[in-house]
Amino acid sequence: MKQSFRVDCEAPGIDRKRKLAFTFDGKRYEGYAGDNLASALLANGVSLMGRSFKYHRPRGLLSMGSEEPNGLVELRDGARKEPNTRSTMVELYDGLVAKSQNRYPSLQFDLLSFNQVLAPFLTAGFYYKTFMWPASFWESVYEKIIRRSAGLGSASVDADPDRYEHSHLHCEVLVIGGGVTGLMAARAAAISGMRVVLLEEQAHFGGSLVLQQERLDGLPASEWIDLQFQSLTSMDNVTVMSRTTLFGYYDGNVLAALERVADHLPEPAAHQPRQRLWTLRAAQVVIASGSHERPMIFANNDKPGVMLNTAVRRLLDRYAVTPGRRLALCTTNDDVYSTARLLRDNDVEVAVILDARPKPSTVAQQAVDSGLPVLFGSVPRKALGGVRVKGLEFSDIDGAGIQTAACDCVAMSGGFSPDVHLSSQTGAAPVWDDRLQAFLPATPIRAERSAGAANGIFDLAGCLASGLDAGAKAALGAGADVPASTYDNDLKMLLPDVDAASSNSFAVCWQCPGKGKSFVDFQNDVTAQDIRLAYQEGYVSVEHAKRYTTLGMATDQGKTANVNGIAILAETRGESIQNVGTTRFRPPYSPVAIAAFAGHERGRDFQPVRRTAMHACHEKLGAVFVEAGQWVRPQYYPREGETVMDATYREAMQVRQSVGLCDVSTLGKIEMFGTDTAEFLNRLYINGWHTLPVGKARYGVMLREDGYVFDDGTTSRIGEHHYFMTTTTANAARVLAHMEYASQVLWPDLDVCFCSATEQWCGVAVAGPESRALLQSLFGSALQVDNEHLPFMGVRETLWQGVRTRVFRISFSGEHAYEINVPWGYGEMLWDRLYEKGQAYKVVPYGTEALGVLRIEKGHVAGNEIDGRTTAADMGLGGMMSKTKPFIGQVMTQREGFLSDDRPTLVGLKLKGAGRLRGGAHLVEDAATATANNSLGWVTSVANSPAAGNWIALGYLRGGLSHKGKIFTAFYPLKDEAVDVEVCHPVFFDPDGERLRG
Amino acid sequence: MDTSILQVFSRKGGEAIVASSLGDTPGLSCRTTDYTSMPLSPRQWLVTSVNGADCHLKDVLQRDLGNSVYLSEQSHSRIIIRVAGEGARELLQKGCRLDLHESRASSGFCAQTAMAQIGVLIHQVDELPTYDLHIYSGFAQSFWHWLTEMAAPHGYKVIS
Repeated sequence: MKQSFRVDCEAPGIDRKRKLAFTFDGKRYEGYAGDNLASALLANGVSLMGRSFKYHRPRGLLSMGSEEPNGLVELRDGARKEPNTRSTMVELYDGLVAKSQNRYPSLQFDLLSFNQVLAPFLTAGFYYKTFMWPASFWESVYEKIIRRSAGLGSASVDADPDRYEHSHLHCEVLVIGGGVTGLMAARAAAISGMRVVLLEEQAHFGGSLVLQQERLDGLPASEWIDLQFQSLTSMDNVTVMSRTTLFGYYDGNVLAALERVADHLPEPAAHQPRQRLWTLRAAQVVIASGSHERPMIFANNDKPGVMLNTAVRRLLDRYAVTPGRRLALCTTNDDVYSTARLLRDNDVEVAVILDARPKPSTVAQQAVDSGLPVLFGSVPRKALGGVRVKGLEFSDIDGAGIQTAACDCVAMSGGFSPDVHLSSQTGAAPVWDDRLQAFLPATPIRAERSAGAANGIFDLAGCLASGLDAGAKAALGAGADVPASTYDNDLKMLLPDVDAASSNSFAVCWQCPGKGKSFVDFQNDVTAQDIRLAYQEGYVSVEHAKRYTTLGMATDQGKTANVNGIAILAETRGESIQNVGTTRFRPPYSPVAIAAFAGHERGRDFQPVRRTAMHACHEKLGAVFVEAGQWVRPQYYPREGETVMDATYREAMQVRQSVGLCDVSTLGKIEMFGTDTAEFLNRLYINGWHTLPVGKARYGVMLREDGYVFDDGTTSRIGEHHYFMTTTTANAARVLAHMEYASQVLWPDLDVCFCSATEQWCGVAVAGPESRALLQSLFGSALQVDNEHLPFMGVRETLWQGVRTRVFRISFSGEHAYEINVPWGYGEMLWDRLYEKGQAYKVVPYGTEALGVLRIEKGHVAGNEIDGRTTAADMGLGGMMSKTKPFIGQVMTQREGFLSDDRPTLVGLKLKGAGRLRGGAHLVEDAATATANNSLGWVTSVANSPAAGNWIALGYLRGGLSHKGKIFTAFYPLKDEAVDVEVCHPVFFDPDGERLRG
Repeated sequence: MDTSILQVFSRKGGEAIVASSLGDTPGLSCRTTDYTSMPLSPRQWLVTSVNGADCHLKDVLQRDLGNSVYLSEQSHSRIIIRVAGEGARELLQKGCRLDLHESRASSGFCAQTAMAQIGVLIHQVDELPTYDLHIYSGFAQSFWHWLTEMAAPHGYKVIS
């Protein structure tokens, strides 16, 4: 029984010469190239595709497009497994593997369909009403049950092996949708010479054209489509993209689209991305995304075999598949008659056509005249059958005259909803149209216009004309420079001849008579009864009813459900549909995989990595790296068997005993020029700068406007009007931005200019008692580094090995120390030479951990102490604040709270007894009464100090150094640890600075 | 080939003379036999040496603009990646939000933007098209990694 539902017609969508094999739930089937998974399954008579979300009802296909709520499958397997994939959007490829989902143990026999028996308890909002008590069951029992029974497929836990890309595209006219309207719009805009982008969601163009029936310019529809496609793709100013869904319309005419580059292949070709996320910027947008057909609301309208009329027609027209042998059609409009003719032309039996309108329209009358069995004023009541429809019970629209027709498929058309999603995303609320029984796009608030079916125009001639007009207006709106007369003529030439327009009349029939579950939202299992119940329980607003019932909240965004749901709510409220209104549509229009949003930025590419010039040197020395913002810095250089604590202790101790090297290239560096630079610095920093001579560096502290400490660092005077500032690694960009603001906005009159030089210069700190000897051996006669030539805080420039070099005698470690800067490209050379020469002086490379130990020993504040909540006075730097000049933040430092004696201020802490200290611990009088309310301060930075021979720390304590010598408890609630600490001066090492200056 | 890079600031009162030499049309570079200048913001340019004028760039600018400018040596702060070929524009649009289409950007186009979360100065050198991408040195490896991954579908060749 191979493809027994394939009929014998010329279907342009498939290539019968190319057979493709695939499996569904482990069973092997065949289809043709051009099929999608849905058409291939139906060709093989597989009408049962899944189980529903809540009730586990058997479900088959509803639509043939991206709005599909039912036919969701798990596609592929292994790491590429993709749950909840719409079978209508999956192009068939050889070897495709798919599984049904949300069923146990099998699709035919699903144990959880027992939920249907519980249905009276599973009404709207059931999870708010049931599972209320006992509370202890919420997570342990209820959640597990709900998760098991509700929901869809399961995702792979393996990493996605494929690549995803982003790209940007600009154009003057963006046309969304490659149906006749979109094709016409694109062609009209294209001949104006503007840059045009045409996006089509499917692999093929032509939208809802009936290929076997329509003729344009005397050509069969598919030939005409090919001609349009060829004309467009032959033009340099046109970009045509298929398999691309526009899913988001954002402010400023920025739009986002997903291109499924390789989804139609078993796996992407080498280097080919699986999907590409496009950001589009368009001067003008034409929305030609068509419309969605609405189901009719009657009992069991979700039974496999009950489908949208357009789906039945598309299957037959494009794929030569009939979804049944004997069909019943029901409608509120003219559209089913084209389907009926197509069925008859292909020798498929039409059991009955139920037309809800009391009188025949012209089109309907033609059908009657041709012998089709039409009943007017008739509507469906209930679909009959088990896992597949077997018959249709119907009656008059008022419920009288019940009859039954045997059929194995029902095609229904409850009218058409223009696709207002994208225009609604711009913020323009759709407007109800009584004549069309549909919401139409509102007056645009962005540079966009809807055309064709998306604007409520449902006949072919109308769509062609509307597309042409929209395309031309968009081109002119984008500034196309074309003479009006020639343009008008050229446009007329594009418009094909088609048969006269058909009439459009719509019956109003939101709910058919008859009892039983009548589904409105198929994907979320929301029935008409649920909507009425929500109203009874007080959910009157459409926004509330939506959330309470979950109407339209599934991944299909209620494309087939919303209007029916709103209409039923309006009927229940006794109000007009316009008054009830729609909920706002939001991106994404259809589901987009997270991987597409992530693109390149996943795993270690989550953010860029910044490496110093000496990175390779550290790697060679076996450094363990740590992230510092985007930078990676050596954290420590372990020797065999060493822990991080061991290595840190050894490195810090060695620096104090001989000499150490530390890569300090990550510090922010700013070159400053101008005759007013000193004055500018005076206003930035709390301390004075007019007295700094050439060849000297000075430590400075900056405040934020609110008076808290912002950043610190040294600034050196290189020349008369040339300064060199360093900032902390973390604040480099922020300080530069702060300075730009000050210079451009506050004091544009000052002659000062500056730029980042962070990556122009790399730096090595050389610290320790042997540092002078090492420097002298490095520089030889190029530079004298004794106290006379290079005193503490001195700065010298020299040529070393022909390389411009700056040497600063500054110290973060508290040691006798220097920082050497060379241009970035000489970083490795500098490090290697220092390391090589340093062997004679027992040199040790040290990382950020040891750097931390050394600066804590010296009581130097860093990021842990400058945390945005602390003042200069808190840090013991209050004396630096000049009283003779204004500076940023000065005024705010006089606030009452800043001057209070009660502020926690910086202290040193020594561990008493055994154990260790931890950063973040609270300082309390007594561990027994340790609560947040009793906290007197906190520990900011801790170190196992070789110099002090024990654990030491910096911290903030109320009353500060007035507690010197007193014992407090450092309480660490995360580990429930309490240790005693003694308050001391924060400088643990070389308090008189003899090392620094020696 | 080593290229010298200088950031140039016009001094107070020297704006006009510097602008006339280095050009002051935003987004458009200016080229002499010795150097290419790219306006970064009011009163600021990035100037790169052309063809072996490397070590003399500073001298040349001092000679031409004398006391009207401050010069900041930046040769090591940025690496320059040259991307050339038919697919170059399409490749760069994978990260660049600016419109690089030939109708909007031609030879001489320059702009500062971000690609792959990294700050980039783009300079279009010719109509092939050829682009010079200036990237801060610390990000060089990260940017190269992104660029080559994005270039792989097109096929690419590293020339030097």
